[in-house]
Amino acid sequence: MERYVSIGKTNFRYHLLPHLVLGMLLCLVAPLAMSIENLNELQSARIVELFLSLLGVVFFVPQFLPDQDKDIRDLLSSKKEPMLTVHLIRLLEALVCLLILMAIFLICLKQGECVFDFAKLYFGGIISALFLGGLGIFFYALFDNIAIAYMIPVLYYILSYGAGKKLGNFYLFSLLRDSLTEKYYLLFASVILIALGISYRCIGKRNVIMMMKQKG
Amino acid sequence: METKIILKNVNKFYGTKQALKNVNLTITEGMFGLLGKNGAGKTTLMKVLATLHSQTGGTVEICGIPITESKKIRSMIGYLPQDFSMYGSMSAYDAMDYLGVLSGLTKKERKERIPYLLEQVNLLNNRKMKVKAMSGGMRRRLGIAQAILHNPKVLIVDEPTAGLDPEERVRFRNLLSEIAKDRIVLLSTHIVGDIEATCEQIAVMDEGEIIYHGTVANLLMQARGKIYSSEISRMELEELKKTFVVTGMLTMGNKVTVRYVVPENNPSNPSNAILVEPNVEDAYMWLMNQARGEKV
Amino acid sequence: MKNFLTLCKIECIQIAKSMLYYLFIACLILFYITQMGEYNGVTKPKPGAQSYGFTYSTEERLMMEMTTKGLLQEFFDNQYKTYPFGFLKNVVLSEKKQEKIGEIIEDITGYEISELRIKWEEKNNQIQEDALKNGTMIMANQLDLEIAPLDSISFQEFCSQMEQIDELIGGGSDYQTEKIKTSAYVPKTYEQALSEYEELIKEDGIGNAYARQFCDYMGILLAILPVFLAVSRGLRDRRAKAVQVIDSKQAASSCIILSRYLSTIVMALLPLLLLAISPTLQTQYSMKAVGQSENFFTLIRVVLWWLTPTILLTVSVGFFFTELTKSASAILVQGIWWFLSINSNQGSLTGMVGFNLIPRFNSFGNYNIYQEVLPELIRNRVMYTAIAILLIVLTIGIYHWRRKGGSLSHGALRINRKNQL
Repeated sequence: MERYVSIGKTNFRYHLLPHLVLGMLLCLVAPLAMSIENLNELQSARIVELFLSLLGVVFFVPQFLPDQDKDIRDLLSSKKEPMLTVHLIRLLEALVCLLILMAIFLICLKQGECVFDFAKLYFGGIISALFLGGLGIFFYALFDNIAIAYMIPVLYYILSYGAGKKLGNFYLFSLLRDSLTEKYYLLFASVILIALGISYRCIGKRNVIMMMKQKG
Repeated sequence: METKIILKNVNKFYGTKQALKNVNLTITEGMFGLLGKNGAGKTTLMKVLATLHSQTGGTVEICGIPITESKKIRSMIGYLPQDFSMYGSMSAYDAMDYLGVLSGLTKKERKERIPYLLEQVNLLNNRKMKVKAMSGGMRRRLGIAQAILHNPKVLIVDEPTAGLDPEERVRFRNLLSEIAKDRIVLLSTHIVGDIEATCEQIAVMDEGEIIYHGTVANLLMQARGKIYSSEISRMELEELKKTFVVTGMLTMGNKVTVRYVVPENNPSNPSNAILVEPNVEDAYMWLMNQARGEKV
Repeated sequence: MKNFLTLCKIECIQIAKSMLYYLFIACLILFYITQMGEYNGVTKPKPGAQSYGFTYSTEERLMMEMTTKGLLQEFFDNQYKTYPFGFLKNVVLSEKKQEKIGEIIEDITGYEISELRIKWEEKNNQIQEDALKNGTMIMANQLDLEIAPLDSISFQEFCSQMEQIDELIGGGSDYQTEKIKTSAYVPKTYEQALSEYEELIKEDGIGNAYARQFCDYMGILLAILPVFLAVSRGLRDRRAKAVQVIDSKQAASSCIILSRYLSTIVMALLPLLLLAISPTLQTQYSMKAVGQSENFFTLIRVVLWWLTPTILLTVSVGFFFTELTKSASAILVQGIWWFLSINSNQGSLTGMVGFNLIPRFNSFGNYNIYQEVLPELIRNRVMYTAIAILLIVLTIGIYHWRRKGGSLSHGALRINRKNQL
């Protein structure tokens, strides 16, 4: 247990902190650009889905940034603690940050007498954020390129912005249409994307090719 | 124009930390070795010469051209950094081609020189190999090939043999010696063997200062009469280490044969000690010990 | 010069070999397909149709009336809706500011505020009574006071008064001139539709009309996507540990950076031009079908001058911040810029230009609006080109400085000064 805490501390201090600060700053400046008082359900949902969901990109996408350098990655992989543990701890910390920040923001909205269903918006927002982050993690693992990792979720966000209907059950801003169905699909997809991304990163490209060769 | 590097009173600060202290040095044609511990200022000095760092004070001239004219200087120097690499997706040939363009070579020159140089460094058969697939030794050889691509008057090589296997190391040294026939090859190392095998002129650096500049033979001469060898028991070893700087030891059973530096007129020298002819390693250790002694 | 072109060629090949570039192209195509949809051709409107679509009325009195009604409502509620960045921001004003707005209202309507308040309250009560009687909900826009601005007030005067109100509210309100112009949304008449059609095929040209819509959609994407190409290129030297080797070469800093920059621009434009081929052919065909002709390069020409500045700026931001911070921070900067640009629409999405990085023209046709905003659009594009050039010159400066040993450490800018001897 002590080891996990220590890994978590290191990760928090050296890697997550700047991203967390960035996320908090974004939330702090938000009231300058938008009302957070006396909003109705739709207006609140707009903030949660169109704005807060981007926190997922900020927190989750840099999942593999600390060991971007191949030498560092090899070094970490050679240690006794499997990389999977490290990645899971990082993931967990990012998730906790997201949960807390989102909760604080929604509480502020409630304090401002906005009318909305807390649980619905909270989980809806978390899931949209998680999905964007999951896309980033998956493509980061696949192509090992931070630019690609950010590009894909941003593109998906833009697509949702414009061609919402065409994304069907994977529409990111479904609360704007007062629908929760999409969120279940998104949650499922997020879990798959993150699991695939992290396991691919841990197993490594070479091993995957070898495994495929052995099977084929 | 004479092929010569002249450094006068060169200082370099990183913030308040002084990395180079009043360096005065003249380097002429041939292999020139820069020796010193890690962190002695070798890399800083080389980066100054490669125009990657500017000195804080003093003047540097390469072949009569002040270092401030970085464009001219860059056309005269070839630089191989400690950890040379190139874009992983490029093949050896493409990487050479790209760096050749950056060095201002024409298409014709590149077509002539690149295969010739790849041949020289024994990479011609691997010219289509991607950089990311290369071993450390291959990458190093590619590095040297790119550094002499534009036929520079001065070649600056930082730790050329670090990370190479013994065979590669010998080959690499020989390659550098060949290249040094009509130009300056400045190499830095903390491996004494490299210097011994190749360099005529050397400079030894310690804490940003040049503490020796001259030939290897001269250094050996200076150390003559200060190196002793003695066969002692393991028990005595610890005691000896406290008094003298040990430059080498060979353990055989319970006995240890040690080589060590004895400062002049030291009475505590064991009676069975034999005066020996110093090798470069001994001389280097003696020198470092001297320098430290003076500072105290 | 020859070497510069060779460098550009190598850079282009490098981009073409990267996975990121193919994803970039895939993104463009995906976006194009999902957003633009199919091109259905142009048909001449027939008399007697049920609807000819809607348009923003250009009737100045109507706009003034609609705006005044909205203003009275918000004034008495003391709650002004603004959308500075796409999200609702309710503004409540101090008494002092309310007084000032009251004065403006008095000027415009010719009534005293106290009179208006009585009327407003009467109307309010009446509506509530009606609602109680009929059991219906109160709709916000039911509060229809029969109050119009004075005839003596011209549209220009009205707009300038409203701009003052907008300023008092803090911007982004319904009282910006842009918003006023879109305050009256009315059905088109047959005559209007017909004259628009004539204008489209004779003066404007279908290629031009399509191109504007194309640029509108693609501009959204191109204000963010190229930054990824730029960041990837900017970080590449570092990742490959090739910084020192490249730095020690003879090539000028401007030559190195510009070759990378221009190659990225060209490679970003390339898929766009390919995407423009199919609509070019279709619009050419459409023009022929209505007995007109249009230059083959019309559409591509619009795409080039409209979208190149966007790409230039986005790539410049990418290079600049990557060089400055040696990290992917440019994505954040451009991301925020994009977010604000896309969300700060004032008024209609057709012909919304201003100083926005993403000029909007989200409709097919509307030649008159286009002509109106064209000077503004040109100013906008020139400005962004200038900013892009400035940023890339700064990038060269930073690169050059760092190459000579300048460093950004301990949070402070520092250069190791050369000895002047």
